Amino acid sequence: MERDQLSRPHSSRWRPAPWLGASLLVVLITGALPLAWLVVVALGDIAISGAGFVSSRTAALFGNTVRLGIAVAVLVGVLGTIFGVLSAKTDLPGRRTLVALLTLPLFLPPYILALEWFTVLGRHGVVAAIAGRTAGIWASDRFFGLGGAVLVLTTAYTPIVMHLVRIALRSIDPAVEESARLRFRWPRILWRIDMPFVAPAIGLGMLVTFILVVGEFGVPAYLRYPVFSGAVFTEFAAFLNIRAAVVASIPLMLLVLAGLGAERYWLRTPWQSLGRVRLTSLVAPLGAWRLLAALGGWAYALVTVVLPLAGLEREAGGAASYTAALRGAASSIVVSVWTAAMAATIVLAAALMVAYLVERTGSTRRNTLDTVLLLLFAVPGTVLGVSLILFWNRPGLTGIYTSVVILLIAYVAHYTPVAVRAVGAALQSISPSVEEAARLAGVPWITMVRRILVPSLAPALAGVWSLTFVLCLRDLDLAMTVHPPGVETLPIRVYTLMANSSSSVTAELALLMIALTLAVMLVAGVAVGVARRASAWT
Amino acid sequence: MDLIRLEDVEFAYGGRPVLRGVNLAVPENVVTVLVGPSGSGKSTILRLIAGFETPSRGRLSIGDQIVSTGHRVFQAPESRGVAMVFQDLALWAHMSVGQTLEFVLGRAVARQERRRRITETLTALGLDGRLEARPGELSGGERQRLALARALVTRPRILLMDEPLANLDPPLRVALLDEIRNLRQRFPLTILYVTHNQHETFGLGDHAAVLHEGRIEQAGSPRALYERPRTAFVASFLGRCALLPGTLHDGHVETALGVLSGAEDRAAQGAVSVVIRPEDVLVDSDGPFGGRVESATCLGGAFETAITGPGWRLWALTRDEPTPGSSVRFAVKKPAIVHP
Repeated sequence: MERDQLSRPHSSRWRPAPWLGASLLVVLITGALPLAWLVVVALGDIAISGAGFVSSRTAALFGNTVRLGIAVAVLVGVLGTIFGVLSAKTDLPGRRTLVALLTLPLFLPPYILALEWFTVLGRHGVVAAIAGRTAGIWASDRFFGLGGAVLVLTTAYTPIVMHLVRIALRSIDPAVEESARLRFRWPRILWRIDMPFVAPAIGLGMLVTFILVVGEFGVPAYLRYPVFSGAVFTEFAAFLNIRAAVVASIPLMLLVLAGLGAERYWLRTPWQSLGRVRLTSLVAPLGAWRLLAALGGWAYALVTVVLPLAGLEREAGGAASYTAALRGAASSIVVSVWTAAMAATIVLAAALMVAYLVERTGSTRRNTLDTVLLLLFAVPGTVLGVSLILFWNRPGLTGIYTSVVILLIAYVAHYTPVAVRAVGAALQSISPSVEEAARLAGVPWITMVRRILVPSLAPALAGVWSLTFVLCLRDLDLAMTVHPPGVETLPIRVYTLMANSSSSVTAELALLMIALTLAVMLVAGVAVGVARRASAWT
Repeated sequence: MDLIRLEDVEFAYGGRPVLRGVNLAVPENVVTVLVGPSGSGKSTILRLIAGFETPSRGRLSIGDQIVSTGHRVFQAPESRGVAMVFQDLALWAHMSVGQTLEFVLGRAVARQERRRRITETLTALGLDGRLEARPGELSGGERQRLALARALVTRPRILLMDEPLANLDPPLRVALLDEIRNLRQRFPLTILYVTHNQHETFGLGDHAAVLHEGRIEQAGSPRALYERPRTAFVASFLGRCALLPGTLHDGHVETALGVLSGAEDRAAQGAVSVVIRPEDVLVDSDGPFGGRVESATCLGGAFETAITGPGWRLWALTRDEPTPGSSVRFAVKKPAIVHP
């Protein structure tokens, strides 16, 4: 080939690599490397101590953790499917409000839910007030332990399966159901036509729930049900034995990996809809069952969501007491809000870049990256926290380890994967030709991101920022493990007070926490609406 | 002069070959239509020329410069002087018409010049009153025009169009086809237009290439491709026709219908197929051939009549509706001949 015939060497203004590389580095440094280092240290310790970490206590903790995970996953699968189908496919009265009400617990820290339930089922709770002291004692005895943990965590995570089922049902082409409707009644259509589409969503929801539950620290610890995440935290925080904490985290990691493996291999290829033309879903009328279904659904929501909230309110004091509680926790609220806001902003920026890398890259690289990201989210907060301390607590890096930076690193490591998934889903709906049109016009890649992708994704980005903010705001496990002296978030303060202070103060702070979360959700709802109008076709 | 040249270009998606040694020359300042069925590799050729993909083998040149060859890229997409109208239009929903055109021109173009070009382009496309409208506020035809305006405002040398009218209703498609034809008088452009629609091929193309399973089957003027197809695929893809197998000798072809004359190369011999299009069949009571009417399909102003006989079936255009089952006599104009 004649060299002079060639144009100048390929030098493009379309240079995504530095931006994508930097974002990937953020994810690697904040989460993946510390976790990898934890595995190396853990393997070394096992090699030294042999199989010594397998003891009767380990076996008991393992049994408790698995029992709790399976019980909650099964209950969440059943309840989430029922409420998902009722709210998305039927004419149940007030279904939108019901969905909003049932979703609320997902945004609250699970230990706050435990506190709510304590005000109902505790020795001096609502049950005792209504049915007498003996009933209160009976309820309290059953609340502390496996039963209470299952109850609280089922309330917390049912919305996951419910929403996944709703999304799956809405993605079904109405024509598919109509073709069956000409011959069959609705129950048969729901079972034979819709369920095969929805089953992977239920499975995914149950697996996510299992992974979250086995990593949960706050609720089992509060309800005195010993599980692995508690053991990891105790070894580190109470006995200051980080090596023991590392070894204790191994079975927990194995459980999480088993869950992740199941997700990767069984749920990777859900039923695909062959392309949906109409946007309106069909509704299956409940007919004679409508009243009964409404009574059942609303009774469940009132008992599991409204009653515990009312119990918390009953426990709290008057306005003066609120003011005192607020004054006492003011610095914690400020720390919580600004760290959550800063972490959410960093997470959003990194997630946009990493999601681009995941969605617009080859399938092999995509799967690897996706698995690493999933692992970072799935790994329990206490384990990730221990890995961060192990990685950052070394000479020369104490400035990071002893400041609020370690908290920000922890939030970014743990919650970027969720944000990547959410941004990635939104990115899938944007045709690559939208970017290619800008590229042909000579627009630099980062300008295209700023001027085309960000405005097009604005509603999703606003939603993801808010979700990340709430996740950081409610985080307890990670913050408890890594927080440096003098940096106390609101969840840490509430959790500490739960053991050392009057129940009215904790109830007031818990209610403040709930109010703060609801305010964020409200603002987020408005922001998403504004962004949607600004970026919509009409 | 050829502006774009593809020489022995090969390309594969995830190991599946899409283009298998494509040779294509796109002449300057004409409309070349790339026509073929879905999955034949038409859009891939556009993406290679735009620079979104790189050929795994072969050489791609624009003007006198090689822009990519065998996994190597020498010229970035934005430096090739290429603009593209995408099948899904790829409009930016959050930008108004004016903002879209301002954005693609960028600060590199002086403000006065930007204004002049935007006004000129919008006037040419009949969008001059819609500067503030966003894509969601435009009609289907206006969106199509905005996609064209976005491509033309940068004054590209080459305009690539990837089935831009595929999702429009027929009257709008015809109107926009006229507009695209007229655009060439205002803007000196080399257009490469991808479609699987025969009407667009004949209505727009100065030059055409038929693509089949990753190879160019035949290139030339659309009329030449229609009248003198070299393969059975080209013959049948560009319009309804009967393909009757036969044996060629001395310029005549023996078929199940009878002996047909017309081969230009009198020396050629052997097994061939005869291409008989509906307009080549003249229904005439004195015609040399006879058959039975199988069915008739109304086309509006005429009927497409299927006529059958022992071992053959062909179609004729008739003004009156024939009765299925009735006998009919006809003549056949000089048919095209393709070699297997």
